[in-house]
Amino acid sequence: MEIAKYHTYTLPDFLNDDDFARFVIDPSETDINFWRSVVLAYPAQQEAIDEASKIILAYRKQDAFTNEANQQKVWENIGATLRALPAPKQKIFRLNLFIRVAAMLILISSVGIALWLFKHNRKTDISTGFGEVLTVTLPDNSIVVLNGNSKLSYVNNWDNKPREVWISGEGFFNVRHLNKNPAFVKATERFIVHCDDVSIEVLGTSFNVRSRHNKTDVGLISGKIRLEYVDKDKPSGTKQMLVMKKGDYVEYAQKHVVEQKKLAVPEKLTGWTSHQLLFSNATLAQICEVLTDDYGYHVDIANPKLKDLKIEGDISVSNVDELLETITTTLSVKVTYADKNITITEN
Amino acid sequence: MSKSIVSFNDDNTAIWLEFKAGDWDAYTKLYNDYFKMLNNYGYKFTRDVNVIEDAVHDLFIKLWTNRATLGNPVSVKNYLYKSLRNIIFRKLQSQSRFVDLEDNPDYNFSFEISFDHQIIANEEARELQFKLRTVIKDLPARQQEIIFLRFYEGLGYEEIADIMEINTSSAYKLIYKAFSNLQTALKTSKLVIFLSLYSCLSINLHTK
Repeated sequence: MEIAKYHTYTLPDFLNDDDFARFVIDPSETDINFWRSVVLAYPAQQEAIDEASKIILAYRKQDAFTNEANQQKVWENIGATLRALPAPKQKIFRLNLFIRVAAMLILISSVGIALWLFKHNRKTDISTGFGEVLTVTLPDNSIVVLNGNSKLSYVNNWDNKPREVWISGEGFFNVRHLNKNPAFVKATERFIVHCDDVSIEVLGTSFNVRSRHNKTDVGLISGKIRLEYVDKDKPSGTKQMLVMKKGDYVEYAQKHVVEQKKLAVPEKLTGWTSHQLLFSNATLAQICEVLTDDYGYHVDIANPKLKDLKIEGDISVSNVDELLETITTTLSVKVTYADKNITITEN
Repeated sequence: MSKSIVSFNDDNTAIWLEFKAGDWDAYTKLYNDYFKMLNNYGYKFTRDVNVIEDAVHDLFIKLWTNRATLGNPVSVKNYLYKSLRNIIFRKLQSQSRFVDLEDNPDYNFSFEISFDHQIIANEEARELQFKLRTVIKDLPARQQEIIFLRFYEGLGYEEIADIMEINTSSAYKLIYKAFSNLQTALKTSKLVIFLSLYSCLSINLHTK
């Protein structure tokens, strides 16, 4: 504190001075000595100093509202309110710093893990053109035969984790059996095929999947598989399960199982893998679907009624020309085609 | 001076830290240490005791539930004053049915102190108090609040600016303006002449 500046102070100046206010309100020994020396140095200021201190002291003579009578009551209300608050919330607050640190560590490590995964777990994407059939060997030496216009993808590294592939279109799977003890299946021994809304879990088996237009057909040739799917009639978020045995055939569409049947000759399902066109009691609509989806034809059926025409019995032909010839002769319709456009009209 | 409930040794930093760590006793102590002061301060804005009690209640609920995320204020008291002030303003604002949207809500509050009702034996002191009362009650609410925080609570500019959420220089300007007004008023009431006569009697500076 400097004495000199108080030489020219007026009443508002003193009232405005923090040191002066403190001296009047709550003086320390130092303050008393200091202000005594100010008055000694500038006796003319005594009047303003006296006036200022009288004003402050007069102001301070005021009624205090302590509300002491209600102190306990308000405290009890606070306690009641706090007890009514959800307890876990308070715990979360207490752990706040810890959680923040933990979240930070998780964030840092997950960025690291993500980078590592990115390096080590490159994905393989395979797709086939119309009419193209491709045999793919997976990292565990399981075999997938991919039909035309289909897609298959999987992560390259399958060490220490379940084998997972994603398919859209049609594929025939021959999965290698890793499990030694059927009573105890390790997570890493699982093989999962993901389609639209259906997952197929396998141990070791061969089966055919056809997943097109939100419709998935699964046929099991040997072994045992489990389907996991979403059912529109069941609570959302829950998964339904279905175990399939040898020869079982399941059609799933619009989020529910449309049909479930036993195939007499399940091997027929894989006819396409040897570039064979196989049909059994198929309608013209079903045949056209294969032509469209697998071979990339554009099929025009003049009269919708024709779609329901059925070819009784089995068809086994090795190419589209033969198939069209079979249709012409058995259904007595007229088939004309140029390039990839097929037109079917009534005879 | 009588009836002062303001403590100037506001060093509750240690208690504050214990409270933040979840210590119920420290929280209780904070409540008991500041309940009276907070009520007194709140009473300047409203005579509705329910509003003040609700505001104190809300303030302490907020303190306990948010304790882990609270900072370490330089002065616990100032922090509580500032929080209480905001809560009361919000309550008064929602209470008033007719809110003038043109007005800055901050200027809408009233601030009223009540001078000691004790009979002051000293006639000259009684006279001074009367003049002060007349002058202060006509000042704008903000200036009255600054004078209260300054001379009753003993706060400096910075602290006042923080509590009232104005910047320091505008706090300074308001204070200076308030005191100039005060001086003018006192002068015109010829109190100055009276005081100068009185000063001849030479008051001891260190008597309070």
